[in-house]
Amino acid sequence: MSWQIRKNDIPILALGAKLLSCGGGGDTKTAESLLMSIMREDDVIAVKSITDLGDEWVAAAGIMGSIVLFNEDIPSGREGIRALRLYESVISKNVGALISIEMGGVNSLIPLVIAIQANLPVIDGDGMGRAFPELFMTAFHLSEIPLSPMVLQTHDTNRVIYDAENAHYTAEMAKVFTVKNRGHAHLVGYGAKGQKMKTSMIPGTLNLIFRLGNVLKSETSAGVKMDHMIHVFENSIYGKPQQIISGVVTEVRRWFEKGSLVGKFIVEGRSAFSDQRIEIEFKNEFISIKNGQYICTAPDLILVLNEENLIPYNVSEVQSGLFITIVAVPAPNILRTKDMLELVGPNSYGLACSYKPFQGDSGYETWN
Amino acid sequence: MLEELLTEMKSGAAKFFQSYPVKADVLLTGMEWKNFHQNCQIASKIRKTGINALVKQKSDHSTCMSCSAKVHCAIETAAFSPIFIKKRVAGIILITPIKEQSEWLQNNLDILELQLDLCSEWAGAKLENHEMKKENNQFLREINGMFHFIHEPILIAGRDGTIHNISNRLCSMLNKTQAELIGEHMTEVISVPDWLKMAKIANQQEMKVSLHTSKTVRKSEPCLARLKPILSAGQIESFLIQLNPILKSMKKEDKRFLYSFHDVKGTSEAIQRVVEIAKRVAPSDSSVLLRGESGTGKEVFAQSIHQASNRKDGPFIAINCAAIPESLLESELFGHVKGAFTGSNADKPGRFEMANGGTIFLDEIGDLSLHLQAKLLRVVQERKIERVGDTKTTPINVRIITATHRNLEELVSEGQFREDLYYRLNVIPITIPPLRERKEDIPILVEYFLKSFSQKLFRSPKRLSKDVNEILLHYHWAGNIRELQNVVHHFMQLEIGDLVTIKSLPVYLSDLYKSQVNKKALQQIQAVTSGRRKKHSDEKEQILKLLDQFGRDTTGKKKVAEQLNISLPTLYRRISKMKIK
Repeated sequence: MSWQIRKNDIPILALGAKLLSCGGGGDTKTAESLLMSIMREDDVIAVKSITDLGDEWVAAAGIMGSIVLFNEDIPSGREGIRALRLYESVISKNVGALISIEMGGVNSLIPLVIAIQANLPVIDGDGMGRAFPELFMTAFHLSEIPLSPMVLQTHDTNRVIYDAENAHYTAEMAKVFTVKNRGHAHLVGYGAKGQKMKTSMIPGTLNLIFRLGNVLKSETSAGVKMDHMIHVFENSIYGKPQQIISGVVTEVRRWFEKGSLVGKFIVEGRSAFSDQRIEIEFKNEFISIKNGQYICTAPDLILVLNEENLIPYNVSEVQSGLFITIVAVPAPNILRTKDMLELVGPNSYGLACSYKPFQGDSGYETWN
Repeated sequence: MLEELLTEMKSGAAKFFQSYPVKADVLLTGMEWKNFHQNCQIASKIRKTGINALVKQKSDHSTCMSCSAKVHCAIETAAFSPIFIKKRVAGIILITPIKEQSEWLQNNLDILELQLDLCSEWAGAKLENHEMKKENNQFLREINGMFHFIHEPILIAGRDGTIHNISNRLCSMLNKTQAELIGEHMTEVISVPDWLKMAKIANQQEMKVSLHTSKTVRKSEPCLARLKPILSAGQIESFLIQLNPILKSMKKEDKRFLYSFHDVKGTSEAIQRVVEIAKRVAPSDSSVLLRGESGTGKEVFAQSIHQASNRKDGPFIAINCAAIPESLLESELFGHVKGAFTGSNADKPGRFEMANGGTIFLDEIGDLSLHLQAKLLRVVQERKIERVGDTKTTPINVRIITATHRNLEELVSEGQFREDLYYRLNVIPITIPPLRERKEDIPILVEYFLKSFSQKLFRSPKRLSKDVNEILLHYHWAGNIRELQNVVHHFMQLEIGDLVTIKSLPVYLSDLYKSQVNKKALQQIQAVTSGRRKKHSDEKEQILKLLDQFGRDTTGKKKVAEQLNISLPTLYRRISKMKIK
């Protein structure tokens, strides 16, 4: 059933989007401010759920490239709609609804920016179910929805990529374009009919970030928030989250490797976890939890949260001395299948281990 | 204990400096510290800062000169070094010269510095070790105490199978004492093959074992072992084992496995609204009537309401009124006394009595006979029951939750259900929506069942093909969530690969797909023909328009034919075919 997003829902969605981004996906601040500035109090964005999708043409929208440059070189706010109009002229039909490429970080909000300007509905779902670093790491790609034709739009220039051989090639061409043009661009692509989209997307993720944002915004203790957050994830296509450790961050190491922010840090457990020491590795997103051996790896979700209020940290915000809580969340099944693991499994991040689904403590809940 | 440690440390420190003409002393916080140097400014400085201090000559040292105790202080030359535990100053090592060797110490303080550092490090380690031992003993005592108190049949065994601790409850099950069992091998408790199997387990799980319950005869009883390996640095160090006799544990689980509102999956407005209402009425004692089709989760709601009520620690008793023959249902619900009927050779409490202090859930209430409806009405009104064959009434305190998939209003109008009982039970009606009215929840439910079956059946994670997704989203789900669960179970069992295809669906669903494909083909054919028809009507309109424009005489028709790029005879043929006048 469809629902509506209002202006005062935007900060809630932004917070939920940051949580689901697993430390990557880019800061939501710029897009959040942009939305707050262009939305009037009575503006609404219609959200279509999986059962509302029909014959309309659905396209995915987002930004790509360096989020640092995106935040420094603030967009005018019209790039998205220009990309959409260009895309419509390329495919010679009107887009009936927009969907997010990744529901995590800034790309959760970009379709909303375009939707409010184009008066279009958005879809409750996305292509990744979290944040991933590459354009082709999507369930759309897995379901053979082509990434091209894809439109890239910056402040002053654009580029259309037609009938590219495959999503990897399109993504590569798009990267070359962004590197040459200020490091970031808005994009519209992965177009398909609603009927095809509804069986290809990861459903319900927009609603999920809204519910998660509401939990994080609530004025309650961290314990109660954690409890509520666990229940929200349980009542979604994700699995039951498990708190892995609470403690203090030590030994943070960070460096750049082929344009990705890579590194690791140690968490020394406190109170109930005082006998534990955990290593977290990251590559744009938090990708593994290690305690001698791997406990959890991508694509399962690793959330690094402020111990006091559970507000999420992204990879660049983690510093020595922070008190944090780490939570692991089982990913939706589609991300855990063999085909998808080739795109987003531990090996795609350069981890030398095979993927083991993180089970959470669902099997043991009756023990307590 | 601490004195002993101090003596040991003092003699150790003396050994460190035995080759030098100095005396080493150890001062610990909370012991001599206060008496000896409570006024010593240097000592209190070290305590605060944790920095070494050297006093070459008291008269030259500013801190000493400003000290109020300088007159009583016998020390002229000294070196101080702090002893740390966890970065906190726990004591001081004090080096003073032996008689008439002040000058030597003054000149050789640098040489002693390294020795002093080593000595304070050693003393710190010694103290820390002492504290840890103390803490460890404390833990052990607490755990031992806990093993005396708890009623759980549990034990801790080492990796090699030695029993480290065992609860009194388990000892009584084994007919042995704690003293007899602690230190013994696990094979005293369970069979050798069971232990060998257990020792190989690396993660928390359950297994069936046989428990030796007799001292003399090797009698064994089946047991459900819950095993939790305790790891240290990735290695199993010991096992925490709970051993429940199978029958008893099942009964207990009945109580434990009650659903709560968190088990109601779905974010649709339809289900969330119902959950909200149910949550609101849960804390009260009001009777609730749950309505909804078969498989919508009426019992889940009944248990959730019980769990969210003040009666949650009381029993939850469920009975399906349609599943028990009417003749037995009465005694099942209300109990009977000895001799009430043939074969009743003892008093037996009914479900209402068993639910005393808790909740009774009467499923399929619409199937209750009129006779029992009358009896139930009395219980609902007066909260008193009478066992079959008994003359006395027993007051009971139960909350009544009923459920039915039948149309009670219709039954009332047909005279098959008592109107007064209907109003008594229908205080708060809650209608659980069928799955087809909340199809947006299907992905969440499918994911939930996929995850739980892949864990239970040890299957790799799977995703659904486009067609399967389409079918699951469009099917009418007459059997609701139960049917969906069965379908997921079906394809989790049958699908070998990662992608669930039409082939692994139950036959009735895959047939539906085939017929849908046929229907689609039919629709397409219909679309083509209707397209033709459309073409036909468009052409007719065009011809009419042109005729109106150019006139209906032969010249006009010639012009029309020219415009349409057809010959005049063709135009005449079309005009007659289209019945244009």
